[in-house]
Amino acid sequence: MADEALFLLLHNEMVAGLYRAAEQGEGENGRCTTKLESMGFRVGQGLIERFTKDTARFKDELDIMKFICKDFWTTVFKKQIDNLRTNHQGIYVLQDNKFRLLTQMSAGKQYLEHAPKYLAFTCGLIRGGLSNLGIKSIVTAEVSSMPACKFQVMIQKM
Amino acid sequence: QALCGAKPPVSLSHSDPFPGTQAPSGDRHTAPFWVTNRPPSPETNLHSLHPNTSHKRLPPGGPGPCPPLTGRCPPGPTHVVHEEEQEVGRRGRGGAQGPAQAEGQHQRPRHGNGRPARPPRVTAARLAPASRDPPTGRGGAGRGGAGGGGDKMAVCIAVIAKENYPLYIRSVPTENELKFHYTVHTSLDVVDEKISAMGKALVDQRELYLGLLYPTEDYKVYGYVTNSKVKFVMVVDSSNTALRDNEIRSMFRKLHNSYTDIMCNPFYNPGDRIHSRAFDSMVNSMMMQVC
Repeated sequence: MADEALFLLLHNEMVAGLYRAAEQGEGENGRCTTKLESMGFRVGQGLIERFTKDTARFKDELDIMKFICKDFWTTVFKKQIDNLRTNHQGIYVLQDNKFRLLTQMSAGKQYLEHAPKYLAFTCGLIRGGLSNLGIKSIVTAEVSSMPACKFQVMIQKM
Repeated sequence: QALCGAKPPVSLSHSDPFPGTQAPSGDRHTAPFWVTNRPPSPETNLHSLHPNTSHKRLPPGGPGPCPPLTGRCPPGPTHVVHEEEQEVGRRGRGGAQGPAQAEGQHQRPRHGNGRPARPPRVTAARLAPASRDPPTGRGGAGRGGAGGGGDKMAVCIAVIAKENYPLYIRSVPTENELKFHYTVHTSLDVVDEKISAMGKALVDQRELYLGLLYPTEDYKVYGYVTNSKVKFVMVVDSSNTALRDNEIRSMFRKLHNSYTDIMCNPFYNPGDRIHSRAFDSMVNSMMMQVC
């Protein structure tokens, strides 16, 4: 029952710790986000390897995105993505109306400006997972009102 | 920004003995480790890949599958030719299967307890071909010093990254290493063919295990592709007839599990060569022991 909190608390500490360390150095906001994202990237690669060990082979890109929205999200955040939209040309928008890592923060607009820091790791997670499955992408996140957030995935065709 | 999981493929050095191979350019200037500086040993000359006449190998009446390399094999001793004729017959006429299989089955009880436990090649002739299903094939030829020491033994195991460069390749016995590297390399084409959309019904598209990629006279090559497009290729001695399909599958599962563990190792960068000792020992347990 406390296992959901494990990752959440660790993640929060990670973000806070990184920013604290950065403040003592030159302290540049963008670099911390990048570091978090790259951490998420490596974690995503390993996670995907584990999760897809027993699943059947994916048919196409959409199949992979659905896997991310359903199985992957459920295993990491204990819930599925609420809404997946695509323009069928390589842009997918994953909408989570109650993002687990943000629910503890606020239920509206308070702390909105700090929210992107807490989404960087998850963006990296998605990007790493996709990369290991053979898809190069760029993942960004936006929050308009907590705890709902949207992850936008742009697939890069080679 | 950040780490990119995909490493650029290594560029082949100009001393590449296989000029026809795909050689994507990359940033790293190290030659892939399957281009060794050793001059190829005489055995790796392609024409002598097939029947080394000093080995007696073919069980009489043991037709094998349709090996793709038969065409360029020099005629060997009588019993080799005999096998080839039978094979051709088998390919050409379905009827030839009947007597051949019956012969095989007839020989089986004579062989005894079915365990191909005899090491020396001389007795390979008495080894009854296991009357297996045609897809798994039967080959008569054995090669190398390894004894039929038991089941679950491969001769060469390779892990290939999704960009088609090797992450790990191990073979036993080591004097034929170059030949195995070449075999693994050529099997990549077969793998791609099987997983492409064009290869309809060649293999169940949802399955990770690809099965027998192609048989040759000396050995059989099996493949497995993970969802992350990492390929495992296993070369098995053809005379190891007791190796069943689901044993091969379980070997691939073990490989996959170990590979997953490596991915989660913080000291491993995805795309690098695999140096993990745990992986090495797991692969060792699956390889043939050389007497």
